[in-house]
Amino acid sequence: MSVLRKASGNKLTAMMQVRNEAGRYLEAALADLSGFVDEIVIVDDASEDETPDICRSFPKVVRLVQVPTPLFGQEGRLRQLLWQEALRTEPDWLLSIDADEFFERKAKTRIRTLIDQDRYDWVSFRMYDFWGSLAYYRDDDLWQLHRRHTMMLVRYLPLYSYIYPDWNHHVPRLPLTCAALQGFQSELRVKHYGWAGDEAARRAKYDRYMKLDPDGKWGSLAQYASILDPSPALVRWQEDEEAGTT
Amino acid sequence: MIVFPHCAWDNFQYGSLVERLGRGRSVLFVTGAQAMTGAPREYGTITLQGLNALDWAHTAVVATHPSWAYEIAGRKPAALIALTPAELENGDESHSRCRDALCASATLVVASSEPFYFEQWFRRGGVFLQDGLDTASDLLVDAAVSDAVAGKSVDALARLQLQRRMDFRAEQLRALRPSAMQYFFQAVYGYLLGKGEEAERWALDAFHLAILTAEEGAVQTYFRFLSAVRLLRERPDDAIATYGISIATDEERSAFEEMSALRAAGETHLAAALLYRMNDDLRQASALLKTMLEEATAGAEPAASPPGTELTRKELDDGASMAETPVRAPATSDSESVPHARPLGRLPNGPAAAARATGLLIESHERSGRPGAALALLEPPRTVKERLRRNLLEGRAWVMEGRRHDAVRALLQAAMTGLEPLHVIAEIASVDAKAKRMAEGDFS
Repeated sequence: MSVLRKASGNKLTAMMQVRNEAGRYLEAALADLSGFVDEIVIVDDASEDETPDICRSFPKVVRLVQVPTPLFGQEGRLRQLLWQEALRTEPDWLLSIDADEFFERKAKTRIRTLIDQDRYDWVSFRMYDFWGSLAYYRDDDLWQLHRRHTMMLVRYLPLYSYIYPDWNHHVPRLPLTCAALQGFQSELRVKHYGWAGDEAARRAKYDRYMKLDPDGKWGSLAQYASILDPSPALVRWQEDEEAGTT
Repeated sequence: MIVFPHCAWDNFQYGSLVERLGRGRSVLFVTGAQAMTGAPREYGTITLQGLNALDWAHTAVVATHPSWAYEIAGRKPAALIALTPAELENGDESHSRCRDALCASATLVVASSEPFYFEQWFRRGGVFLQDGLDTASDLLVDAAVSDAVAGKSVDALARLQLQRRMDFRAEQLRALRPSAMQYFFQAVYGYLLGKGEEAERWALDAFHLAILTAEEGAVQTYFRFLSAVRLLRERPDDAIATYGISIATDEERSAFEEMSALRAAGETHLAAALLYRMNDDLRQASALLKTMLEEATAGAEPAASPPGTELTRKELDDGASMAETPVRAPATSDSESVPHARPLGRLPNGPAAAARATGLLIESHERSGRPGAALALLEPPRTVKERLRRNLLEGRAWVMEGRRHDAVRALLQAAMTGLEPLHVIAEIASVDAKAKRMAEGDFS
């Protein structure tokens, strides 16, 4: 009978869903991840650029599944595919991370402490939306991702039931059932660079959202509008500040 | 036939049942004449003192209030039908203790709600449900009560009602908006019927729906039950791991560690009994533990082959006697064999395992409202704490045997080392007073 929750020697697999990430943060993200996870599994949603080649160039990317036609609008299916592929690496823990997300430095050194324990089955982190550069994050009424916790790291328990909702959009990055287990809210931080580009990049994102969701069915129209805010409230990021303990 | 009612005749919902059972028998209600206003003329009343003159070996009892437990205790009627009106299924600690004791000593229990029905099924056999939702199901109760009073077995009818209820609920689920709890009930029906595959599917559906509707405690309420179902399906390693996934408290963690260690040491029966206990299935836990201990006492081959140790449904369904008499049954291959509680490995072969099994069985008996059975297994006390526990148990057991003075004496002895025994004495007095009031027609 194998040990249900190992207090040491856990294998950590990162799983990532990508599409047309060349020229953005993918390379840096994979280099970063390669420093602290054991294996990386990627599902490429029909990229039309060099994304697959970049992925293949990292030895820790042990599985790269390329979807021939985009599964946009079938997000539940895409999430399920990534989850199933990640399980094939027989992980003890899974880290769900995007190609524009980076753990702060100290988190990378502490992640083994977070998973080498036998009490908690998930860990959540505070995620910060960087804005306009890699130096500031946004902090106002509509941009408060960092004020709550986002579950990114889960223990894999083979006999547990993991389900994703069969939704087309806004499917959670990890199975819904994960959160029902006992978890731990870490004060460690994750940097989200998705909004760190220039004004043109943000305008392009705004236009895309308004085209896909003009009535605010999937998100808040006020938040969409705030993307174009000319003077958002920004806070300087302190990389080495002690943001709390693990 | 003696009826111990919970209310005056004009509110008594079991009138037709009493009328059916009372045909050809004299029927006496333990209450005042005033409370029987409007009742059929042939029904009489009897005082508490009058009960002492009856020939109980030829008297059937219908009890509809838990506070009659001590009055009925020790009289050993020919049949005891415990009917629990919905409003009396739950109450304070004292109420629950009387209810449990009454149900444990009953020939047959009729619940008014599914949660209580299942709770009783997890403690004993011969349990029925009459909630007015399904006529066919309710009719089975009438038949079962008649059979029980006539001294016949009700096991087949009990199983038939489980199946009927499961079918009835399945029909409802096709028409109504489902809830996680309804799915869960289906899982429990499947489990009690030994249909592991169906039970597993329903339990998973219940869990998933609970998650989708953001219900609190979904893992502990729904997912955990899969551990018992997987044990039923003879997958002990999966069952233990499933339980382990669901742990939330230190007590549960400790139980999981213990069952894992027992399984690793080959003590699968003991691990299984502990898992059943942690799922509140005291009936399965007790049945397994009793068989284990009897095998150990008889010096049976530890790695006994499964067919020689199978429990029969009779063993498991014999709720009242389960705790009091040896139930080792010969191996049978008849249809009464219970798919639950099958041997999954070897029996305990060491004193430590036997002691642990005994401890678990004592606890199961206590939690099932069978203090007498628990007392019979208790070792002589070696410490003050053990002496206190024994005295307390003696008090609880003897009051259920009608030995009121012995019970109080034991409790007073225990009171020298703690306050709890005094609370028990006060509880007995309070229940006595309630019974006395009801016997006088005061049901307030």
